[in-house]
This record gives sequence, C-alpha cells and structure tokens, in this order.
Amino acid sequence: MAKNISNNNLDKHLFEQLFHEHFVHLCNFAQSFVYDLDEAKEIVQVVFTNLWLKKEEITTEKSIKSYLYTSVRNRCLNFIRDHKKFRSQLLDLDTAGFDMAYEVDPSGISELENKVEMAIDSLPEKCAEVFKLSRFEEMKYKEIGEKLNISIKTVEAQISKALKHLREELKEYIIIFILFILKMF
Amino acid sequence: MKNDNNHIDYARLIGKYLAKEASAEEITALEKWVAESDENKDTFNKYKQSWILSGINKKNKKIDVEREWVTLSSKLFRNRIEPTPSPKVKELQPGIPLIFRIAAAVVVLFAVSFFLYNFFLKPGTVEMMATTTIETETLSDGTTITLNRNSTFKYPKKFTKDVRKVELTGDAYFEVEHNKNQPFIIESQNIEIEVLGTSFYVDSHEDNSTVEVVVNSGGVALRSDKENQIILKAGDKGIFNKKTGKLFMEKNTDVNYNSWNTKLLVFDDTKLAKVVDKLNEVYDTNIEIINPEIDNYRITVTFDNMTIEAVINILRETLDIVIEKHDNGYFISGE
Repeated sequence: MAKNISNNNLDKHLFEQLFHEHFVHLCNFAQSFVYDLDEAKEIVQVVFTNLWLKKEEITTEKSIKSYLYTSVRNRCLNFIRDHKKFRSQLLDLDTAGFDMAYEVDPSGISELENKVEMAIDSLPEKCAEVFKLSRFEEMKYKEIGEKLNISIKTVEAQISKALKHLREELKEYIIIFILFILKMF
Repeated sequence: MKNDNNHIDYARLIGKYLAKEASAEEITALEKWVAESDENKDTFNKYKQSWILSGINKKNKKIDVEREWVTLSSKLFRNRIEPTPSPKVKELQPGIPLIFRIAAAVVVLFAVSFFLYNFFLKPGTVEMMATTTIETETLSDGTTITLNRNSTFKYPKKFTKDVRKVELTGDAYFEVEHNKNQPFIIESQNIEIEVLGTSFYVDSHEDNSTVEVVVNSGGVALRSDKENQIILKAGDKGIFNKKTGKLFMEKNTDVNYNSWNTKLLVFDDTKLAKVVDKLNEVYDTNIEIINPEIDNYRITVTFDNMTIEAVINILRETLDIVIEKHDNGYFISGE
C-alpha cells in the first residue's frame, strides 16, 4: 500500500546502495527489451536520476525495487516506440503489457534469482551450454554452431528446448494473462 | 501449442525472435500466429517472460558499476552544492518586452485564482487527504470511507444529483450505503467504479500500473468506458491495466488486502520476510531482518487488532528470535 519513497529514508547513502545493488540487474532487464547495452545503461541512469530528483513526489505502494523495474520497463517501451526500433509492433510492444514477477512481488527478487539459476542449471548439459552462449555471451546462432561444432538447426532446437523448460520451471513467476470473458449476467 | 497443422515449430521461431535471429519472413509468420488467437498470444508472452527472467542473473562484464555511479553522482550531487540558476533563463529574461511579462503575470494570476477557487471555495466539494495517518469519514448518505496513507478523496458535501459521484487517488476501503435510485460512482484515473450498496477496497495510486478493486460484499461494476465493464461479486478482484486499457477479473487470494484498515492479519505458513513486509505496511513501521537466514522462517499466526509491541512479542516467543527496538522500528537479528 501507499508508501512514499521519502518515507523510506531515501538518503544519499541508501540511494548509492540501491544503485550498486540493482544497476546491473536493471541493465539486464532493460537489455531484454532494447537489446543495445548502451541504450539500456542510459535508460537505467535516467530512472535513477528521476528517482533521486523526484523522491519527494514519487509514491509507490510496492517498494523502491519494484518502482525501479516498472520505470525501466516503461522507459524501454517508450524508447522502442519513439525510435521506431521495434521489429514488430505486435511482438515488441503490444505484447509487453504484462507486469513482471518482480514488479508484482519485489520481496521475492532474491528468491527469483535463485530459482532462475537453478532452472538454468537443471537444463541438460548441451542445452544449457547453448542457451548460456546465446543469452549471456550474446553470441549469434552461427557463432555458437561453429564454436560447438553443431548445426544451426541444432542450436535452434536447443534454444527452444531451453525456453520450454524455463517456462515450465519459472511458471509461478510468469503472470498469466487472464482472458476475461463476460459470462456473467 | 498447436503447430502441427502447417509444420512450423513456433517455440523455435519464438526462440529465434527473442535471440534476434529471426528473418523478416519469420517475424511475419510469427506475428500472424500470435494474432491468430489469445491462446497463442499467451504462449508467446510466457516465452517472452521466461526469456526476460532468465537474463536477470547475467554477469555483465561490460558494465562498470563504479564508473556508472561516478557519472550519476557527479551529475546529481555537484549541482546540489552549487545551485546556480539555469543560464539560459537568465539571458532570455531581459529580452522579453514588459508587456509580455505583464501578460504572463496576469495569466499566472488567473490560473492561481482558478486553482484556489476550485480547491478551497467551490461550494459543496470537500477534499480529504491522508498523508501519514489513516482517515475515516462518513458522507452525507451514510457511506463510510477509510482512506489509507498517501491518498486523496473528493466528495460533495451533499449528494444532490441522480448519481453519487466521488473521486479517489490512492487506496481506500468503502462501505457504501444502499440506494438503488442513486448509484454511487467512484472516478479514478480513467476508470469508473459503480455500486449500489456494498463494501469493497480500491487501490488506485497514480504510480501503479493497475487499478484494483477487491469486493468484500455485494456487487460492483468496474468500467473503463461504455462498452467495457466487468461485474465483480464478493470475493472477486477486478484489475484495470492502465497501459493496455484492459479489464481482468480473478479470485482474490490475499486475505490481508484490508489489514491496513482492520488490523486483522492472517498468516498461514508464511515466510517471515513477507510477514515483516506486511507488518511494515500495516503498522507504518520499519522492521528489518538483519540476519538473512531468518528470512525463510515460516509462521502461522493471526494478529487481531494488536499493537505492534504485542505482535513483536509474539514473533519473538513463537520463533525464538532476538528482536530489538530502535528509533523508528525493530531489528530482527537471530536466534
């Protein structure tokens, strides 16, 4: 419920702590939307700047963490839209109206991190290797194929296998879209 | 996924899209598939969310947090020490003819008067603000409203029209007096909540991405425009997504949604970290768990209208942990 950020004693010290604690995570989050790391960093910088400058005005019923994630996501979507950087209006923007698990329940961020790590670790060995190269090293499918001496088709298959597995493992953190049908009355 | 009909493996396609490997043709094919049904859209969304979640732990060697911090802090904190007025404004001001400056002053004067009139003098409208304490008010029709901290509520002194219209920013619990000839309508951020007589909770802060309504008794209509409305009954939760403009409904699962108001808290095998979050919110205090090992302690307990001191004592004794009081809260340190 309503909690003014300034009530949380957001002094310089706490601000610095928040920055160090979340900057990399927020950049990763932003990069999932805008892909480019420099743009992602810039967006996160602006969000922190605003948090500090407007700390008296900002109220959030959740927590500073969830405020940060929500703001970063919104800025990313605006950025994609304003710079016409989206590849597909439908896939990049129209389907991005979900709230991520950490926005809904930020108390569980560290729990979520553990769960993600476990989910990736529980992938079959080859599958994990391919997925990590793509997701974390940002290697192209072609480069992964060459490095591991496998075909691009195999890379594709491993990535989709990994995604299916992650979707299953992380399902409690994925907000389900409620397809509301007005059945009543 | 229904992907066998035309032999396209959509999971593979989604993977390629997310990894930026999909060709223009593949993107078109995927778009077509996503647009085909809500089920497909939902599947796509789940993959997309999994993809985003999976990146959260990425150790990004290309980010130098220390350097980023220096950039930010030099920008934010140097300005604070030397608050110099923006030079651009300074240069411009002498160039503005006097007549425009007078005109501007007149406009400002009008705007301020209008604002003051609306807020303080407009007959019959009362603005109620809760900042650090919870406020309760009974309206002229007998309706009671409990306004949570950081919330604002506007209502007429007397309901004279054929509807009872009020405005809310923030969150509040309502017990609306029944009157089927004069519906009670709450306006809040592009959404209308219409009721005849019922009790329910509304969470509508400007910074939230959603407006949420939880119904305790009776029925409520949640309306974003003429065509779009959902009817909520006791136990339902209605959600309006401000970004997409969509309305959703689900069963309310949070038994403590109204605890800030009732001071009744029910925890069933709940993690201590979550209990502490809720207590901080309900008692507007600052309890901190210093030893992270304790975060995962679980507790089943009901606190019914207790003081924070009594709650702390129960936690201390039930979990056998050390809790110390400090200036504006408590530290939970260990066994």
